[in-house]
Amino acid sequence: MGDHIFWDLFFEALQETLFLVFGTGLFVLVIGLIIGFFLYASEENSIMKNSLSTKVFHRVLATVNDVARSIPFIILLILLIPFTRSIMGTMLGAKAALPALIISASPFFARVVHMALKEVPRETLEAANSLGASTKTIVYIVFKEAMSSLVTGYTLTLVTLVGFMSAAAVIGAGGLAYLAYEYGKFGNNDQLMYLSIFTILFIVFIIQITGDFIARKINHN
Amino acid sequence: MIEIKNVSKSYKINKIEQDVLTDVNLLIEENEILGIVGLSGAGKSTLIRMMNGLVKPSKGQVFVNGRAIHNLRQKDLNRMRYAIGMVFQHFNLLSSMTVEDNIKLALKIANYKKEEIKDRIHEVIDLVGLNDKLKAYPKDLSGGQRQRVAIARALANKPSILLCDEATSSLDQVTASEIVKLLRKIQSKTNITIVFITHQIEVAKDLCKRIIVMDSGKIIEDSSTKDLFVRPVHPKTKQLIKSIVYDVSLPQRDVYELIYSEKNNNETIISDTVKHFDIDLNIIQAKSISIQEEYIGYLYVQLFGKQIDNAITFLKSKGIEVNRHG
Repeated sequence: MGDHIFWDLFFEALQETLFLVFGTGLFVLVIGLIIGFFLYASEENSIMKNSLSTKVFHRVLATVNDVARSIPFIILLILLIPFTRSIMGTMLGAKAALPALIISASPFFARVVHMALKEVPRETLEAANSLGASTKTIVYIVFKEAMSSLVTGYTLTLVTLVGFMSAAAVIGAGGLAYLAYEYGKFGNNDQLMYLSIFTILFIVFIIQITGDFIARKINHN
Repeated sequence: MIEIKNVSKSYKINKIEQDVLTDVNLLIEENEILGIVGLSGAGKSTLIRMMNGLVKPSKGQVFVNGRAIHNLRQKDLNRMRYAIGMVFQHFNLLSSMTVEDNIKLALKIANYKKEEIKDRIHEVIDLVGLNDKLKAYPKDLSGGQRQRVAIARALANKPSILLCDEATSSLDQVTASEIVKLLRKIQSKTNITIVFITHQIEVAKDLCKRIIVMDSGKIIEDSSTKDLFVRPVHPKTKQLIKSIVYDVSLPQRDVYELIYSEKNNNETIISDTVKHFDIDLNIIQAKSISIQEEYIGYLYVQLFGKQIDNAITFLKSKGIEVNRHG
Protein backbone atom coordinates (compact mmCIF):
# COMPACT_ATOMS: atom_id res chain seq x y z
CA MET A 1 0.00 0.00 0.00
CA GLY A 2 1.42 3.38 -1.01
CA ASP A 3 1.81 6.22 1.44
CA HIS A 4 -0.74 8.24 -0.40
CA ILE A 5 -3.47 5.63 -0.17
CA PHE A 6 -2.57 4.86 3.44
CA TRP A 7 -3.15 8.40 4.59
CA ASP A 8 -6.22 8.85 2.39
CA LEU A 9 -7.78 5.84 4.01
CA PHE A 10 -6.83 7.03 7.45
CA PHE A 11 -8.11 10.57 7.12
CA GLU A 12 -11.33 9.45 5.52
CA ALA A 13 -11.92 7.06 8.42
CA LEU A 14 -10.99 9.72 10.97
CA GLN A 15 -13.48 12.10 9.39
CA GLU A 16 -16.18 9.44 9.53
CA THR A 17 -15.46 8.68 13.15
CA LEU A 18 -15.58 12.33 14.15
CA PHE A 19 -18.78 12.78 12.18
CA LEU A 20 -20.28 9.76 13.92
CA VAL A 21 -19.21 10.74 17.42
CA PHE A 22 -20.23 14.36 17.26
CA GLY A 23 -23.15 13.96 14.85
CA THR A 24 -24.67 11.21 16.97
CA GLY A 25 -23.53 13.06 20.07
CA LEU A 26 -25.60 16.08 19.12
CA PHE A 27 -28.77 14.04 18.55
CA VAL A 28 -28.19 12.07 21.74
CA LEU A 29 -27.67 15.28 23.68
CA VAL A 30 -30.97 16.78 22.58
CA ILE A 31 -33.07 13.61 22.74
CA GLY A 32 -31.51 12.49 26.03
CA LEU A 33 -32.04 15.87 27.68
CA ILE A 34 -35.69 15.93 26.66
CA ILE A 35 -36.49 12.36 27.72
CA GLY A 36 -34.40 12.65 30.88
CA PHE A 37 -36.10 15.87 31.85
CA PHE A 38 -39.58 14.43 31.38
CA LEU A 39 -38.63 11.32 33.35
CA TYR A 40 -37.65 13.64 36.17
CA ALA A 41 -40.54 16.07 35.82
CA SER A 42 -43.19 13.33 35.79
CA GLU A 43 -42.01 11.72 39.01
CA GLU A 44 -44.14 12.02 42.10
CA ASN A 45 -43.83 15.44 43.79
CA SER A 46 -41.61 16.73 41.04
CA ILE A 47 -42.38 19.45 38.53
CA MET A 48 -45.51 18.13 36.84
CA LYS A 49 -48.76 17.92 38.78
CA ASN A 50 -49.36 14.71 40.71
CA SER A 51 -52.13 13.00 38.79
CA LEU A 52 -53.01 9.67 37.27
CA SER A 53 -52.09 10.81 33.78
CA THR A 54 -48.67 12.01 34.96
CA LYS A 55 -48.13 8.65 36.61
CA VAL A 56 -49.09 6.76 33.45
CA PHE A 57 -46.95 9.06 31.32
CA HIS A 58 -43.95 8.40 33.58
CA ARG A 59 -44.48 4.65 33.54
CA VAL A 60 -44.76 4.48 29.75
CA LEU A 61 -41.78 6.74 29.17
CA ALA A 62 -39.61 4.89 31.68
CA THR A 63 -40.55 1.50 30.26
CA VAL A 64 -39.90 2.45 26.64
CA ASN A 65 -36.64 4.08 27.63
CA ASP A 66 -35.48 1.10 29.66
CA VAL A 67 -36.38 -1.40 26.96
CA ALA A 68 -34.43 0.56 24.36
CA ARG A 69 -31.53 0.85 26.76
CA SER A 70 -31.52 -2.83 27.63
CA ILE A 71 -31.20 -4.18 24.10
CA PRO A 72 -27.53 -4.91 23.50
CA PHE A 73 -26.22 -2.54 20.87
CA ILE A 74 -25.14 -5.21 18.40
CA ILE A 75 -28.60 -6.82 18.51
CA LEU A 76 -30.26 -3.46 17.99
CA LEU A 77 -28.01 -2.88 15.03
CA ILE A 78 -29.27 -6.06 13.37
CA LEU A 79 -32.88 -5.45 14.41
CA LEU A 80 -32.76 -2.07 12.78
CA ILE A 81 -31.36 -3.18 9.42
CA PRO A 82 -34.67 -2.83 7.53
CA PHE A 83 -35.44 0.48 9.20
CA THR A 84 -32.00 1.85 8.48
CA ARG A 85 -32.14 0.76 4.88
CA SER A 86 -35.48 2.45 4.34
CA ILE A 87 -34.53 5.83 5.83
CA MET A 88 -30.81 5.99 5.03
CA GLY A 89 -30.97 4.14 1.73
CA THR A 90 -27.89 2.13 2.61
CA MET A 91 -26.58 -0.45 5.03
CA LEU A 92 -22.97 0.54 4.66
CA GLY A 93 -20.80 3.42 5.72
CA ALA A 94 -20.94 5.91 8.51
CA LYS A 95 -24.48 7.10 7.86
CA ALA A 96 -25.86 3.58 8.25
CA ALA A 97 -24.72 3.43 11.84
CA LEU A 98 -26.52 6.64 12.86
CA PRO A 99 -30.02 5.31 13.69
CA ALA A 100 -28.78 2.44 15.83
CA LEU A 101 -26.26 4.64 17.63
CA ILE A 102 -28.85 7.29 18.36
CA ILE A 103 -31.51 4.84 19.48
CA SER A 104 -29.06 3.06 21.71
CA ALA A 105 -27.23 5.98 23.28
CA SER A 106 -30.17 8.37 23.79
CA PRO A 107 -31.97 6.23 26.40
CA PHE A 108 -28.67 5.74 28.16
CA PHE A 109 -28.05 9.46 28.31
CA ALA A 110 -31.69 10.04 29.26
CA ARG A 111 -31.18 7.95 32.40
CA VAL A 112 -27.97 9.80 33.14
CA VAL A 113 -29.85 13.10 32.86
CA HIS A 114 -32.66 11.77 35.04
CA MET A 115 -30.20 10.77 37.75
CA ALA A 116 -28.31 14.06 37.56
CA LEU A 117 -31.50 16.09 37.95
CA LYS A 118 -32.64 13.89 40.82
CA GLU A 119 -29.42 14.68 42.67
CA VAL A 120 -30.46 18.31 43.07
CA PRO A 121 -31.65 18.48 46.69
CA ARG A 122 -35.38 18.93 47.20
CA GLU A 123 -34.52 21.53 49.84
CA THR A 124 -32.86 23.76 47.27
CA LEU A 125 -36.03 23.71 45.19
CA GLU A 126 -38.15 24.28 48.28
CA ALA A 127 -36.12 27.41 48.96
CA ALA A 128 -36.71 28.57 45.38
CA ASN A 129 -40.41 27.89 45.81
CA SER A 130 -40.45 29.90 49.01
CA LEU A 131 -39.10 32.84 47.00
CA GLY A 132 -42.06 32.54 44.66
CA ALA A 133 -40.20 31.00 41.71
CA SER A 134 -42.27 30.12 38.63
CA THR A 135 -42.08 26.65 37.12
CA LYS A 136 -39.81 28.03 34.41
CA THR A 137 -37.39 29.33 37.04
CA ILE A 138 -37.50 26.04 38.93
CA VAL A 139 -36.55 24.16 35.74
CA TYR A 140 -33.70 26.60 35.16
CA ILE A 141 -32.46 26.08 38.73
CA VAL A 142 -32.61 22.30 38.44
CA PHE A 143 -30.46 22.34 35.30
CA LYS A 144 -28.09 24.93 36.69
CA GLU A 145 -27.51 22.95 39.87
CA ALA A 146 -27.14 19.67 37.94
CA MET A 147 -24.85 21.08 35.25
CA SER A 148 -21.63 19.54 36.51
CA SER A 149 -23.20 16.06 36.77
CA LEU A 150 -24.74 16.54 33.33
CA VAL A 151 -21.36 17.29 31.78
CA THR A 152 -19.81 14.26 33.47
CA GLY A 153 -22.70 12.11 32.27
CA TYR A 154 -22.47 13.42 28.73
CA THR A 155 -18.74 12.70 28.67
CA LEU A 156 -19.46 9.16 29.75
CA THR A 157 -22.08 8.88 26.99
CA LEU A 158 -19.68 10.10 24.30
CA VAL A 159 -17.04 7.59 25.38
CA THR A 160 -19.66 4.83 25.31
CA LEU A 161 -20.62 6.00 21.83
CA VAL A 162 -17.07 5.44 20.61
CA GLY A 163 -17.35 1.92 21.95
CA PHE A 164 -20.68 1.37 20.20
CA MET A 165 -19.13 2.55 16.95
CA SER A 166 -16.49 -0.10 17.12
CA ALA A 167 -19.24 -2.67 17.32
CA ALA A 168 -20.99 -1.07 14.35
CA ALA A 169 -17.80 -1.49 12.38
CA VAL A 170 -18.40 -5.22 12.29
CA ILE A 171 -21.47 -4.80 10.11
CA GLY A 172 -19.74 -2.42 7.80
CA ALA A 173 -20.26 0.99 9.32
CA GLY A 174 -17.23 3.08 8.54
CA GLY A 175 -14.73 4.88 10.69
CA LEU A 176 -11.45 4.15 12.35
CA ALA A 177 -12.66 1.00 14.06
CA TYR A 178 -13.75 -0.37 10.71
CA LEU A 179 -10.32 0.44 9.32
CA ALA A 180 -8.60 -1.33 12.20
CA TYR A 181 -10.88 -4.31 11.82
CA GLU A 182 -10.65 -4.65 8.06
CA TYR A 183 -6.97 -3.91 7.59
CA GLY A 184 -5.82 -5.46 10.81
CA LYS A 185 -7.70 -8.68 10.45
CA PHE A 186 -7.88 -9.19 6.72
CA GLY A 187 -5.53 -6.74 5.08
CA ASN A 188 -2.49 -7.54 7.14
CA ASN A 189 -1.62 -3.91 7.48
CA ASP A 190 -0.55 -3.69 11.10
CA GLN A 191 0.60 -0.10 10.79
CA LEU A 192 -2.83 1.08 9.74
CA MET A 193 -4.46 -1.02 12.42
CA TYR A 194 -2.32 0.35 15.23
CA LEU A 195 -2.62 3.91 13.96
CA SER A 196 -6.41 3.55 13.93
CA ILE A 197 -6.53 2.02 17.37
CA PHE A 198 -4.31 4.66 18.92
CA THR A 199 -6.27 7.41 17.27
CA ILE A 200 -9.48 5.99 18.75
CA LEU A 201 -7.83 5.91 22.16
CA PHE A 202 -6.63 9.46 21.65
CA ILE A 203 -10.15 10.62 20.80
CA VAL A 204 -11.54 8.93 23.93
CA PHE A 205 -8.77 10.51 25.95
CA ILE A 206 -9.47 14.00 24.61
CA ILE A 207 -13.22 13.63 25.25
CA GLN A 208 -12.58 12.47 28.80
CA ILE A 209 -10.08 15.19 29.64
CA THR A 210 -12.22 17.95 28.18
CA GLY A 211 -15.32 16.65 29.97
CA ASP A 212 -13.54 16.35 33.30
CA PHE A 213 -12.06 19.80 32.92
CA ILE A 214 -15.40 21.47 32.23
CA ALA A 215 -17.17 19.52 34.96
CA ARG A 216 -14.55 20.54 37.50
CA LYS A 217 -14.69 24.14 36.38
CA ILE A 218 -18.43 24.43 37.00
CA ASN A 219 -18.61 22.26 40.08
CA HIS A 220 -18.94 24.33 43.25
CA ASN A 221 -20.09 21.62 45.58
CA MET B 1 -50.49 39.29 60.44
CA ILE B 2 -50.91 35.55 60.23
CA GLU B 3 -54.10 33.84 61.23
CA ILE B 4 -54.44 30.09 61.46
CA LYS B 5 -57.98 28.86 61.91
CA ASN B 6 -58.95 25.32 62.88
CA VAL B 7 -56.18 23.86 60.78
CA SER B 8 -55.63 20.13 60.54
CA LYS B 9 -53.25 18.25 58.32
CA SER B 10 -52.83 14.58 57.67
CA TYR B 11 -50.48 12.77 55.34
CA LYS B 12 -50.79 9.35 53.83
CA ILE B 13 -47.71 7.44 54.87
CA ASN B 14 -47.65 3.86 53.63
CA LYS B 15 -51.36 4.12 52.89
CA ILE B 16 -52.14 4.99 56.50
CA GLU B 17 -53.49 8.44 57.29
CA GLN B 18 -51.32 10.12 59.88
CA ASP B 19 -52.36 13.31 61.61
CA VAL B 20 -49.58 15.85 61.70
CA LEU B 21 -51.65 18.78 62.93
CA THR B 22 -54.96 18.67 64.75
CA ASP B 23 -57.20 21.67 65.03
CA VAL B 24 -54.57 24.35 65.40
CA ASN B 25 -55.55 27.95 66.06
CA LEU B 26 -52.99 30.69 66.15
CA LEU B 27 -52.83 34.43 65.70
CA ILE B 28 -49.52 36.10 65.01
CA GLU B 29 -49.55 39.89 65.24
CA GLU B 30 -47.59 42.24 63.09
CA ASN B 31 -44.02 43.00 64.27
CA GLU B 32 -44.10 40.06 66.62
CA ILE B 33 -41.24 37.62 67.20
CA LEU B 34 -42.94 34.33 67.86
CA GLY B 35 -41.14 31.14 68.79
CA ILE B 36 -42.63 27.75 68.05
CA VAL B 37 -40.95 25.14 70.18
CA GLY B 38 -41.39 21.40 70.27
CA LEU B 39 -39.59 18.14 69.71
CA SER B 40 -39.18 16.79 66.22
CA GLY B 41 -42.41 15.33 64.92
CA ALA B 42 -44.49 17.86 66.82
CA GLY B 43 -45.76 19.40 63.57
CA LYS B 44 -43.77 22.65 63.67
CA SER B 45 -42.33 22.34 60.18
CA THR B 46 -45.70 21.57 58.67
CA LEU B 47 -47.26 24.51 60.48
CA ILE B 48 -44.66 27.02 59.31
CA ARG B 49 -44.94 25.76 55.74
CA MET B 50 -48.62 26.60 55.75
CA MET B 51 -47.74 30.22 56.34
CA ASN B 52 -46.27 30.51 52.84
CA GLY B 53 -48.38 27.86 51.14
CA LEU B 54 -45.66 25.22 50.74
CA VAL B 55 -48.09 22.92 52.51
CA LYS B 56 -51.84 23.13 52.16
CA PRO B 57 -54.07 22.32 55.13
CA SER B 58 -56.36 19.29 54.93
CA LYS B 59 -58.90 21.29 56.91
CA GLY B 60 -59.13 24.88 58.08
CA GLN B 61 -57.92 28.22 56.83
CA VAL B 62 -54.70 30.21 56.78
CA PHE B 63 -54.77 33.97 56.33
CA VAL B 64 -51.61 35.95 55.72
CA ASN B 65 -51.95 39.73 55.71
CA GLY B 66 -55.67 39.19 55.31
CA ARG B 67 -55.50 36.89 52.29
CA ALA B 68 -56.56 33.24 52.29
CA ILE B 69 -53.23 31.73 51.30
CA HIS B 70 -54.55 28.16 51.21
CA ASN B 71 -56.91 29.11 48.40
CA LEU B 72 -54.72 31.09 46.02
CA ARG B 73 -53.92 30.22 42.43
CA GLN B 74 -50.26 29.32 41.90
CA LYS B 75 -49.49 32.64 40.24
CA ASP B 76 -50.98 34.70 43.06
CA LEU B 77 -49.36 32.45 45.62
CA ASN B 78 -45.94 33.06 44.05
CA ARG B 79 -46.52 36.81 44.14
CA MET B 80 -47.61 36.53 47.78
CA ARG B 81 -44.38 34.71 48.59
CA TYR B 82 -42.31 37.74 47.60
CA ALA B 83 -43.57 39.24 50.85
CA ILE B 84 -42.75 36.17 52.97
CA GLY B 85 -39.09 35.32 53.39
CA MET B 86 -37.97 31.93 54.61
CA VAL B 87 -34.71 30.52 55.98
CA PHE B 88 -33.95 26.88 56.56
CA GLN B 89 -31.91 24.61 58.79
CA HIS B 90 -29.53 23.65 56.00
CA PHE B 91 -29.50 27.10 54.38
CA ASN B 92 -30.56 25.71 50.97
CA LEU B 93 -28.48 28.08 48.90
CA LEU B 94 -27.80 27.30 45.27
CA SER B 95 -24.36 25.74 45.26
CA SER B 96 -23.76 26.62 41.61
CA MET B 97 -24.18 30.34 42.21
CA THR B 98 -22.13 32.96 44.01
CA VAL B 99 -23.47 34.76 47.05
CA GLU B 100 -24.34 37.70 44.83
CA ASP B 101 -26.21 35.55 42.31
CA ASN B 102 -28.10 33.74 45.04
CA ILE B 103 -29.46 37.06 46.28
CA LYS B 104 -29.98 38.32 42.75
CA LEU B 105 -32.09 35.26 41.99
CA ALA B 106 -34.58 36.25 44.69
CA LEU B 107 -34.80 39.76 43.27
CA LYS B 108 -35.19 38.55 39.71
CA ILE B 109 -37.96 36.19 40.72
CA ALA B 110 -39.77 39.13 42.26
CA ASN B 111 -39.29 41.16 39.04
CA TYR B 112 -37.06 43.77 40.62
CA LYS B 113 -35.93 46.45 38.19
CA LYS B 114 -32.44 45.92 36.84
CA GLU B 115 -31.15 49.27 38.08
CA GLU B 116 -32.35 48.57 41.59
CA ILE B 117 -31.00 45.05 41.91
CA LYS B 118 -27.40 46.03 42.53
CA ASP B 119 -28.26 48.55 45.22
CA ARG B 120 -30.56 46.15 46.97
CA ILE B 121 -27.93 43.39 46.98
CA HIS B 122 -25.51 45.77 48.67
CA GLU B 123 -28.10 46.83 51.21
CA VAL B 124 -28.92 43.31 52.36
CA ILE B 125 -25.36 42.00 52.27
CA ASP B 126 -24.44 45.02 54.38
CA LEU B 127 -27.21 44.17 56.81
CA VAL B 128 -25.82 40.67 57.38
CA GLY B 129 -22.23 41.89 57.37
CA LEU B 130 -20.75 39.88 54.52
CA ASN B 131 -19.76 42.62 52.08
CA ASP B 132 -16.48 40.93 51.22
CA LYS B 133 -18.09 37.62 50.27
CA LEU B 134 -20.24 38.64 47.31
CA LYS B 135 -18.15 36.70 44.79
CA ALA B 136 -17.71 33.62 46.99
CA TYR B 137 -19.51 30.34 46.45
CA PRO B 138 -21.48 28.79 49.32
CA LYS B 139 -18.97 25.97 49.71
CA ASP B 140 -16.29 28.53 50.62
CA LEU B 141 -18.35 29.86 53.52
CA SER B 142 -18.81 28.62 57.08
CA GLY B 143 -22.22 27.47 58.28
CA GLY B 144 -22.88 30.77 60.03
CA GLN B 145 -21.91 32.75 56.94
CA ARG B 146 -24.13 30.61 54.74
CA GLN B 147 -27.06 31.26 57.03
CA ARG B 148 -26.34 34.99 56.81
CA VAL B 149 -26.47 34.76 53.04
CA ALA B 150 -29.72 32.81 53.29
CA ILE B 151 -31.11 35.54 55.54
CA ALA B 152 -29.98 38.20 53.08
CA ARG B 153 -31.68 36.28 50.28
CA ALA B 154 -34.88 35.94 52.30
CA LEU B 155 -34.91 39.66 53.10
CA ALA B 156 -34.00 40.86 49.61
CA ASN B 157 -37.60 41.48 48.57
CA LYS B 158 -38.39 43.45 51.72
CA PRO B 159 -40.85 40.91 53.06
CA SER B 160 -43.17 41.73 55.93
CA ILE B 161 -42.79 38.23 57.37
CA LEU B 162 -39.72 36.10 57.94
CA LEU B 163 -40.18 32.38 58.56
CA CYS B 164 -37.26 30.59 60.20
CA ASP B 165 -37.31 26.80 60.13
CA GLU B 166 -34.72 25.54 62.62
CA ALA B 167 -32.47 28.34 61.40
CA THR B 168 -29.87 27.83 64.12
CA SER B 169 -30.14 24.09 64.64
CA SER B 170 -27.18 23.04 62.55
CA LEU B 171 -24.91 25.74 63.93
CA ASP B 172 -22.69 25.68 66.98
CA GLN B 173 -23.76 27.60 70.07
CA VAL B 174 -21.67 30.70 69.47
CA THR B 175 -22.69 31.01 65.82
CA ALA B 176 -26.31 30.33 66.73
CA SER B 177 -26.34 33.21 69.20
CA GLU B 178 -24.78 35.47 66.56
CA ILE B 179 -27.62 34.59 64.20
CA VAL B 180 -30.12 35.30 66.98
CA LYS B 181 -28.50 38.68 67.55
CA LEU B 182 -28.67 39.39 63.83
CA LEU B 183 -32.36 38.50 63.70
CA ARG B 184 -33.08 40.81 66.63
CA LYS B 185 -31.19 43.60 64.94
CA ILE B 186 -33.12 43.05 61.72
CA GLN B 187 -36.40 42.99 63.58
CA SER B 188 -35.73 46.26 65.37
CA LYS B 189 -34.62 47.91 62.11
CA THR B 190 -37.36 46.68 59.81
CA ASN B 191 -40.26 45.78 62.12
CA ILE B 192 -40.60 42.50 60.28
CA THR B 193 -42.73 39.74 61.80
CA ILE B 194 -40.54 36.75 62.66
CA VAL B 195 -41.80 33.20 63.17
CA PHE B 196 -39.00 31.13 64.59
CA ILE B 197 -39.27 27.37 64.77
CA THR B 198 -36.83 25.44 66.89
CA HIS B 199 -36.43 22.41 69.08
CA GLN B 200 -33.94 24.41 71.15
CA ILE B 201 -35.92 26.29 73.77
CA GLU B 202 -32.72 28.02 74.92
CA VAL B 203 -32.46 29.73 71.51
CA ALA B 204 -36.12 30.71 71.46
CA LYS B 205 -35.87 32.37 74.89
CA ASP B 206 -33.12 34.70 73.64
CA LEU B 207 -35.06 35.79 70.59
CA CYS B 208 -38.80 35.56 71.11
CA LYS B 209 -41.22 37.65 73.15
CA ARG B 210 -43.83 34.95 72.91
CA ILE B 211 -43.45 31.22 72.64
CA ILE B 212 -45.89 28.49 71.77
CA VAL B 213 -45.10 24.90 72.57
CA MET B 214 -46.27 22.13 70.28
CA ASP B 215 -46.63 18.44 70.92
CA SER B 216 -48.12 15.75 68.68
CA GLY B 217 -49.67 18.24 66.28
CA LYS B 218 -51.27 20.42 68.94
CA ILE B 219 -50.46 23.70 70.60
CA ILE B 220 -50.11 22.84 74.27
CA GLU B 221 -48.88 26.17 75.59
CA ASP B 222 -48.98 29.75 74.40
CA SER B 223 -47.55 32.49 76.60
CA SER B 224 -45.01 35.26 76.92
CA THR B 225 -41.49 33.92 77.14
CA LYS B 226 -41.09 35.00 80.74
CA ASP B 227 -44.35 33.41 81.85
CA LEU B 228 -43.41 30.22 80.11
CA PHE B 229 -40.29 29.95 82.24
CA VAL B 230 -41.85 31.10 85.51
CA ARG B 231 -45.24 29.39 85.32
CA PRO B 232 -45.19 26.55 82.80
CA VAL B 233 -48.42 24.56 82.76
CA HIS B 234 -48.08 21.51 80.57
CA PRO B 235 -45.81 18.66 81.71
CA LYS B 236 -44.08 18.60 78.32
CA THR B 237 -43.23 22.27 78.70
CA LYS B 238 -41.83 21.65 82.16
CA GLN B 239 -39.74 18.89 80.68
CA LEU B 240 -38.36 21.19 78.00
CA ILE B 241 -37.46 23.84 80.57
CA LYS B 242 -35.98 21.30 82.92
CA SER B 243 -33.54 20.28 80.22
CA ILE B 244 -31.85 23.67 80.39
CA VAL B 245 -32.38 24.51 84.08
CA TYR B 246 -30.87 21.58 85.89
CA ASP B 247 -28.97 18.53 84.96
CA VAL B 248 -28.41 16.86 88.33
CA SER B 249 -30.81 14.30 89.70
CA LEU B 250 -32.61 15.74 92.68
CA PRO B 251 -33.27 13.85 95.91
CA GLN B 252 -36.79 12.54 96.28
CA ARG B 253 -37.89 14.11 99.55
CA ASP B 254 -38.75 17.61 100.76
CA VAL B 255 -37.48 19.35 97.61
CA TYR B 256 -38.92 22.68 96.57
CA GLU B 257 -38.36 24.68 93.45
CA LEU B 258 -38.12 28.43 94.04
CA ILE B 259 -38.35 30.60 90.96
CA TYR B 260 -37.33 34.26 91.24
CA SER B 261 -38.53 36.49 88.52
CA GLU B 262 -39.14 39.86 90.19
CA LYS B 263 -36.50 42.38 91.01
CA ASN B 264 -36.24 41.52 94.71
CA ASN B 265 -32.53 41.15 95.05
CA ASN B 266 -32.21 43.78 97.78
CA GLU B 267 -34.32 41.85 100.23
CA THR B 268 -33.02 39.12 102.48
CA ILE B 269 -35.94 36.86 101.78
CA ILE B 270 -34.33 33.50 102.40
CA SER B 271 -32.74 34.37 105.71
CA ASP B 272 -35.98 36.07 106.83
CA THR B 273 -37.83 32.86 106.05
CA VAL B 274 -35.35 30.75 107.96
CA LYS B 275 -35.48 33.04 111.01
CA HIS B 276 -39.20 33.72 111.21
CA PHE B 277 -40.43 30.20 110.60
CA ASP B 278 -37.60 28.27 112.21
CA ILE B 279 -36.77 26.46 109.01
CA ASP B 280 -33.72 24.40 108.12
CA LEU B 281 -32.72 24.87 104.55
CA ASN B 282 -30.41 22.89 102.32
CA ILE B 283 -29.51 24.27 98.89
CA ILE B 284 -29.23 21.56 96.25
CA GLN B 285 -28.82 23.55 93.07
CA ALA B 286 -29.13 27.13 91.91
CA LYS B 287 -29.14 28.54 88.44
CA SER B 288 -30.13 31.73 86.74
CA ILE B 289 -30.98 32.09 83.10
CA SER B 290 -31.34 35.20 81.04
CA ILE B 291 -34.39 35.95 78.99
CA GLN B 292 -33.32 38.82 76.82
CA GLU B 293 -33.09 41.77 79.27
CA GLU B 294 -34.42 39.88 82.28
CA TYR B 295 -33.14 37.19 84.57
CA ILE B 296 -34.90 34.29 86.19
CA GLY B 297 -33.41 32.43 89.12
CA TYR B 298 -34.08 28.79 89.89
CA LEU B 299 -33.29 27.54 93.36
CA TYR B 300 -33.74 23.93 94.44
CA VAL B 301 -33.81 23.47 98.19
CA GLN B 302 -34.79 20.96 100.82
CA LEU B 303 -36.89 22.48 103.57
CA PHE B 304 -37.30 21.02 107.05
CA GLY B 305 -39.35 22.36 109.96
CA LYS B 306 -42.82 22.57 111.43
CA GLN B 307 -43.95 25.78 109.74
CA ILE B 308 -43.15 24.94 106.14
CA ASP B 309 -46.62 25.86 104.88
CA ASN B 310 -46.39 29.31 106.43
CA ALA B 311 -42.91 29.73 105.05
CA ILE B 312 -44.13 28.93 101.56
CA THR B 313 -46.97 31.40 101.85
CA PHE B 314 -44.45 34.03 102.91
CA LEU B 315 -42.16 33.26 99.97
CA LYS B 316 -45.07 33.48 97.56
CA SER B 317 -46.09 36.82 99.04
CA LYS B 318 -42.63 38.07 98.10
CA GLY B 319 -43.24 37.18 94.45
CA ILE B 320 -41.40 33.90 94.40
CA GLU B 321 -42.92 30.91 92.68
CA VAL B 322 -42.77 27.85 94.90
CA ASN B 323 -43.39 24.37 93.58
CA ARG B 324 -43.10 21.15 95.46
CA HIS B 325 -40.79 18.98 93.50
CA GLY B 326 -41.27 15.25 93.05
